[in-house]
Amino acid sequence: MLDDLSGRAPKTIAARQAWLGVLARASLEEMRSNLADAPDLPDYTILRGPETGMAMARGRIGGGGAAFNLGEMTITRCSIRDATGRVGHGYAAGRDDAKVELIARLDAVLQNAATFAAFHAAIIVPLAKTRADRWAAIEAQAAQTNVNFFTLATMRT
Amino acid sequence: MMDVRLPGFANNLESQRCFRAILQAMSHPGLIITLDINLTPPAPLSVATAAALLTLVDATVRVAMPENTGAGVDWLVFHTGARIAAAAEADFIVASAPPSLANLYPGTDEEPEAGATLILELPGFGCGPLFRLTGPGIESNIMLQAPLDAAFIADWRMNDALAPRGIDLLLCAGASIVGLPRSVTIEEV
Amino acid sequence: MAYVAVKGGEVAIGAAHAWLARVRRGDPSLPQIDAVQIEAQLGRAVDRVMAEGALYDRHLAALAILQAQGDLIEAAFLLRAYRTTLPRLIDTEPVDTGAMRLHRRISAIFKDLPGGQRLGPTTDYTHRLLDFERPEPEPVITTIARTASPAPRATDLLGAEALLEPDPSGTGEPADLTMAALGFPAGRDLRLQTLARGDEGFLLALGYSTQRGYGNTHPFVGELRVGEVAVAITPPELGFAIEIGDITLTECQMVNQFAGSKAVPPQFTRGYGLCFGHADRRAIAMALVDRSMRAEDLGEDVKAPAQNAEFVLSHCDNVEATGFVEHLKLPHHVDFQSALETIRAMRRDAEASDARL
Repeated sequence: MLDDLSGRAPKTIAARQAWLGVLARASLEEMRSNLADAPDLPDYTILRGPETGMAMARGRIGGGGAAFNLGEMTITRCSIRDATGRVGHGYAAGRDDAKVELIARLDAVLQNAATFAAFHAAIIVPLAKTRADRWAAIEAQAAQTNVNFFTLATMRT
Repeated sequence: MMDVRLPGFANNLESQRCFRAILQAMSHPGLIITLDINLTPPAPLSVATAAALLTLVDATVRVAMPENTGAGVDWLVFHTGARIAAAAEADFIVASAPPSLANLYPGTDEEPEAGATLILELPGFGCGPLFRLTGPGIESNIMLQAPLDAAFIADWRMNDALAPRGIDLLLCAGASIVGLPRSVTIEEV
Repeated sequence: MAYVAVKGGEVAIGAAHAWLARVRRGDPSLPQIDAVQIEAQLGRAVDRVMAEGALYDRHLAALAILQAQGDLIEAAFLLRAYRTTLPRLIDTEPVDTGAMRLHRRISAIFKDLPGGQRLGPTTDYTHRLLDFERPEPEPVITTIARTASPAPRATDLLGAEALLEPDPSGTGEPADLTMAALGFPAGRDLRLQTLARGDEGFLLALGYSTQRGYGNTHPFVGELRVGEVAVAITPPELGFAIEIGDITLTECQMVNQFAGSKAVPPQFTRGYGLCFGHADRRAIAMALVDRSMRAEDLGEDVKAPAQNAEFVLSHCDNVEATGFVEHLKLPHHVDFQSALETIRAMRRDAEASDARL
């Protein structure tokens, strides 16, 4: 599925899942500001979209049981074929067409062994750090509200 | 891996235009309507069939296309999210050789609208036998020349006995369509 | 009841809409609020509208609240109407609430909950005093960046001892209220979907009724957690799951005493609540009502309104309810004329029979 030419290219589905997960959570502005440090993106034609619709978000009964439909969420998708013939897919929660079109273009160049390293370093690495920093900041705040409750023995006597 | 190299409609307006054309075709049985659409579907799907599927099918719809190989099925699933099903369970059946209508789902008396639609791929209109069409939506009668065989016309009469249930028919050739709802009577002249 | 078309009134309706727009805007000398401010500063209202509108999109919910002048039921209605313009592209993989990045996690039954208790941004310990000053909040102290470690659900801990009923398993396609009208008997999947979008006030009142003795279920909050979960989809063209972002959810595991039956030993049974956004009240009420509606399945007497699934599910949707209740104010001139004729005729008959006596 992915190029496996140079040894430096991503070989696994896990790598693609990782960059698509990072890109889906980034804003268009964040992606565009990092594009300045990346090579030019190849020309492309749109195969599908960009289009906004809904995904039915599912939960599990009791948290771990059979699936149920919790409610819908907005989702936008786009698929492109770039000048090298690679097909890229972009999906993200929300309604940002331009962002998802850019995700699809980046997905295509990240599958290309010749361009993976440059785009990964310029875009995915900093966006992954932004995401990790944001999560760490929330966790730091959350951890400050960790609590130990003490039972007062006299209350039950 | 799915073959997704061919695009679908360029925008929603194309889908809306096709929907309007199909509505016209089904409400004017026998009228040949040519779709004004720029589409390159994977072979052997005709432009009209491909456009009708893009217009009418979404992820809640079951489609049977037994004559299509990987590329056509992949293309349809990629663009519409269609659920591929056996002909007997399908909402839409795409075929160039008509299947026995008795094997398709005619809906129920409570939900006759759930009856299947057969999309029949023809080499063209204006060839083959001449048929007289009568029924709702046709003032007196209308003539249609199309390469439909006698066995299929005999099979079509099944719809009379099923009413209000039944199978609807969309004939496709090139970029042209003809709508034949289940209520139409087809007689060879 | 029949509906009768009326015509006319365009000018008055136009003027009413124009006045409504001015009322919505308020005093033009004050700055206009924007949806982004509502999204950022009225988060609980946004959460409620997303839940009852059954569509997770913070910005759309904020826009709806603004347009509805803060009428949250009207805002949910606007969101429901908007969603009908969007195609359903895909179903997500079931979210894993056990892997939630926790903002809040409390248990009313385990003091020393493995993984710890965490209060999160709660109002539980505030004095309910109006704050006329509203000072700027203290800045975030983030000197120690931390990596979150997921905590197991508290009910998984009790389940290990077999004192708690297990999660109901199943692999079929879950029922979907958005595709087929509510029908009965409704499975637990359909019930939970209906409750998740149900009116918070209705769920709250029904949950309260179970505590007051109308279908007593002896509830304990096994765990309440709020946080972000990753949402994944498996697009057919990829054939593997990818994440599309995170959503904030509230989950409540209600644990209830159960005396047991012929087939089942005494144990704790469970009610489940899961909803969009940070919404303790909604999740707890949902879990109470979910458990309450299981009365029949568990062989308990069905006596109280909250135990009657058909009653609860048929009346919990505030968009449906407000449509039917509020339509009464629309013109029913002909219906009423007919009712008037009937009453007059009945009165004539009554007077005639009085005269005969």
